[in-house]
Amino acid sequence: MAEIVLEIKNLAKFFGKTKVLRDISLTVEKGDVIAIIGPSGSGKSTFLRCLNLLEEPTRGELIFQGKTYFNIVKCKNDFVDYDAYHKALDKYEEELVRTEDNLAIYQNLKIEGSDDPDLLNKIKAAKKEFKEVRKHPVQKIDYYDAKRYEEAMKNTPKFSISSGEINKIRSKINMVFQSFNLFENKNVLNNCCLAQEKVLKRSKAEAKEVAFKELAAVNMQDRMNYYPRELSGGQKQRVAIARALCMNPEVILFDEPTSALDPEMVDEVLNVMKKLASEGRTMIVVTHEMNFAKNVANKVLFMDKGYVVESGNPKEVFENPKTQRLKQFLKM
Amino acid sequence: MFDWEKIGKIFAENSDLIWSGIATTLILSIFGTVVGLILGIFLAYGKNIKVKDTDILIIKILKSVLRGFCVIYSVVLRGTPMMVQALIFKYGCQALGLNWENIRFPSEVLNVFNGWLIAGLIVITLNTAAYMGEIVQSGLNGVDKGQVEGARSLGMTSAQTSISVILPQAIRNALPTIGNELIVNIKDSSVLNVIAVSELFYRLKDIATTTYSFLEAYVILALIYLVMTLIASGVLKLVEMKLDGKKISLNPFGRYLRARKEI
Ligand SMILES: Nc1ncnc2c1ncn2[C@@H]1O[C@H](COP(=O)(O)OP(=O)(O)OP(=O)(O)O)[C@@H](O)[C@H]1O
Ligand SMILES: [Mg+2]
Repeated sequence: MAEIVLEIKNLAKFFGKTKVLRDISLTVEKGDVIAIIGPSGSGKSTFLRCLNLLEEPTRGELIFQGKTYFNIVKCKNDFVDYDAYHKALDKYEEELVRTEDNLAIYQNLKIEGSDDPDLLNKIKAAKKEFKEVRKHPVQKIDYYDAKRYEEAMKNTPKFSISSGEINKIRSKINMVFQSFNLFENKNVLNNCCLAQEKVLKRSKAEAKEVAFKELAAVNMQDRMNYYPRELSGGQKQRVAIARALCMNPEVILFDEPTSALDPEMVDEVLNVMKKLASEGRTMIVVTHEMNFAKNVANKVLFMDKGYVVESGNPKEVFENPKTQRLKQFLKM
Repeated sequence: MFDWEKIGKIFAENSDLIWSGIATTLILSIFGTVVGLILGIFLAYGKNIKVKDTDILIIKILKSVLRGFCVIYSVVLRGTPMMVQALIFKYGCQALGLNWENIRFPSEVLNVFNGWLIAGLIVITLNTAAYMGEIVQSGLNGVDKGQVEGARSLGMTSAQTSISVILPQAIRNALPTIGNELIVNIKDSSVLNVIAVSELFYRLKDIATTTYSFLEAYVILALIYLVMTLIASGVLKLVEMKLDGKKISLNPFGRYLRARKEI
């Protein structure tokens, strides 16, 4: 059995009230090429960003090479006092109806041509009251049971990780972005050297040597002294890949690496990625390139609305989709 | 009547004073701009301190105080004239028992270094810092933030990211405005004559009263300021071109070629 590199257990991410990731579990083995597909807004980018903690998950457990680097099992949402919440919700709706009716009454009076001299002020006040009520909707999170929550937290060991350790993890789980995110003030060579020197503490000469090697691997060795603004999109993305490779990462996360490219440049980047896959690199790739997912990946996840709806090997997923949603997505 | 001969004469007879005035003005404006820029960088970051929910109470308080200080500092120093700031600084120091006049330097180079110059340097630096804070902040806003994520995702700390990636670009973007601040300082350092900093204006005012040639002295003064600001903007242009990687050519018809060494 292959070595397990990354384990994701019950990962969830909420932005305030929007639940972007619900409950995602995934085991990544060495050499896996995992393709993540799904409609826009389904949480694919957020998932990748949680893996290297660019985004802090709301809950879940992340384990890298056997070592837990993120773990929140319980969150306040698990301890909502539903009685209190529903009571508050009812009261809120009542208030809403009452103030709205109030406003409507005065407005009708105005239409009917009432001679109350104070009417305009009354309308204003009613409007204000209505808006005030509407401004403070009831939120579940405000009604969690603090006592039960704190008790539960006391019994679960507190998990914390220093920012130094987070940085160490990030240097092993690199990310390639849709928008390249190259350093505009550094040339291609220094884009590849900077993090090696700062994070891995390699010497200048050593870093340069690694950069030469990796830039050659993506066929950018003759553009060392160019600045990002002098490169085409495809070239930029290949440099970004080389920059990640320079860190000797265990896992490389790709977030739609070809989506910002002109069609004729997509292949040069996909070919580099195919080469990496064939070299046994562990990769997680969010992509809209179905052919890449079909032919290169050994595992495909279909995400929708924050859930992994279907997963399996590409053959299963593409030729025999089980759910309606995936069928729709694949236009079958 | 305006007398061109007199101009030459005044210049010749007082050249020592005039040169020391020029030196003082240059020291004030260059030091004020450079150190003001450095302080301005801290100010820009200070104004953007974010208090996090996860911070402990003492850190929250400290952060808020620091942030409040930076905001108030920048509003007050940009909202009052430097001349008034200089006077308040002078008399404030006196009230605290510090008289800048008493600070003497053993060997006075060109008559330039004395206690008032130090006071002047402090005032112009603190004043410039407030403007530089704004300039750096808008420079920072202009940098594409994706690069922060690019750097952080490789494991770089936020300090490393700022120093190696973001600040250089912010300052490069803001360079024209920063250069403008140098030119403003060359001219505005003249208000420091109110606390007896013997810069260029102070010297020429002196010369004007002793020679009774007011118009001529002030025309000389204007010309010197003009030459200084023109030279400063020329130098800044060259620096900018150099940073853009354009080959500097003194031949106005020469094309700016991109110097690119192949490895
Ligand atoms: N910082 C944020 N604050 C609030 N909501 C966010 C934030 N980031 C993402 N979201 C929301 O999370 C949802 C999922 O976003 P995400 O970028 O992960 O989707 P995606 O699957 O990558 O989509 P796409 O294919 O368009 O890139 C979206 O509805 C988005 O509005
Ligand atoms: Mg996305």
